Amino acid sequence: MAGEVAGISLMTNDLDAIEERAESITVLIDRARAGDRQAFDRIMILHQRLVISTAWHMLGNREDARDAAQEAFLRVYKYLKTFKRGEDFTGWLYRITINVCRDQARKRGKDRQFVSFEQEQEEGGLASLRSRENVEEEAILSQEKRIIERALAMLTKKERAALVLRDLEGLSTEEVSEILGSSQGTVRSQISSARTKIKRFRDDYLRMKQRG
Amino acid sequence: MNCRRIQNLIPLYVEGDLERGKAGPVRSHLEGCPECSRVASDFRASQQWLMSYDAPDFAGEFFDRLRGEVLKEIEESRAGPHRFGLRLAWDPAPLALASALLFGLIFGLGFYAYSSMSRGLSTAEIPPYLRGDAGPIQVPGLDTGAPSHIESRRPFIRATRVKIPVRAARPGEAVRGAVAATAINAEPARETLRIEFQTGDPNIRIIWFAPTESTAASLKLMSGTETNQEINHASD
Repeated sequence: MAGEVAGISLMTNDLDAIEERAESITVLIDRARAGDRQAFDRIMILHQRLVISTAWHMLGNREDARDAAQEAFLRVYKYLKTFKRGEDFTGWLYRITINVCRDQARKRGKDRQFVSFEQEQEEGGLASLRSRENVEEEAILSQEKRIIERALAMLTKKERAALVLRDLEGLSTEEVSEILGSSQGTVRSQISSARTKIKRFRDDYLRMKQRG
Repeated sequence: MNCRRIQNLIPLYVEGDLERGKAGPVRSHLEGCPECSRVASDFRASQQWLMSYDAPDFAGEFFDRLRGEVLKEIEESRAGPHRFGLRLAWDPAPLALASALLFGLIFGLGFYAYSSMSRGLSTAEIPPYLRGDAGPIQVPGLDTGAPSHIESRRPFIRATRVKIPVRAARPGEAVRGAVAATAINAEPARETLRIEFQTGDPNIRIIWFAPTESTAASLKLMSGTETNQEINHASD
């Protein structure tokens, strides 16, 4: 009984915290709209990890992720006046970030079609990746992570966006469909296709690894 | 459900993304099918592998620099023209609207100017005696396929009976064409067939006056030279 009471109390506290946070975001948005720089800085502080994590998962390296995050916050500032009261700010921010990453990937010609791990090896994709990355990134990223990045790079932009939001950012299918502006059926189809491609890529990679 | 169908659903099943009602049959199938169960297990391992791809732990300085650059750009955009300032001002929607309006205005003016030039005379501007108000008649054997009423700016042929005041040609006066033929030996205000040809060009209309059947019977239609001789002879 005491546990149940404690559980209910914890839930109530969580809800209060969520409401308080939503309220504080609304207040910050109003202040930022009025030109308060500190309020906008506070908004960035609250969401910087979300934006940079999404951008990094979408683009796969630190420099591109930083550029995308910067551009995403500038767009937030620019379009803050069009943000409707009561709308989900986090969802709106995810949408902007995904769009910025897509634009950036398009500019840099990263919208690649799916190829197998062997094809990737033949084309020297991993070698070029190694040579392009700087020493700092070499230290940060493990070999496995680079392989996963190559696997993600094989996906189409839509598949990657759906997979990143669902599996790496942990959003629900419904939330992903709202952010991407697609039906849940479309999102499920993209996620299924993306997971299948990732698994196939990993199977190839493991076979290559076993052969030495 | 067969194995192929189940294996198509496994990528969604492993993370609980299947629609309601589909997960149960998949679970039941996996319990009794080692092959599909192995595929599901591989997918779970692949998902774990994928999810190990977490973003690096960016340092506080990284975020400070990021926010600092954003605020700096915003500040500079407020101060005056700048790359970001231009970018903020470069909103494509109003520009597209303005371009469309300008294009529409130019096109409208051009069309108005063209239609004014090619309009020609309106029905009201044509003198009544040229309008054929007496009513059009069909010329036997002449099937024009054109409307028998006035239609501005459209080619047509029509014939109308009109009374034309004529005078006798003076001696030596050169008179040519069908009007001359009407004038020869004609009484004043003889009934004449007025035939109009409206060409494709709205500014060009050919009007031909011809004697009616009864008039023609009493007239000799001759060539221009013969007509002059006849006229001279008549005047003598």
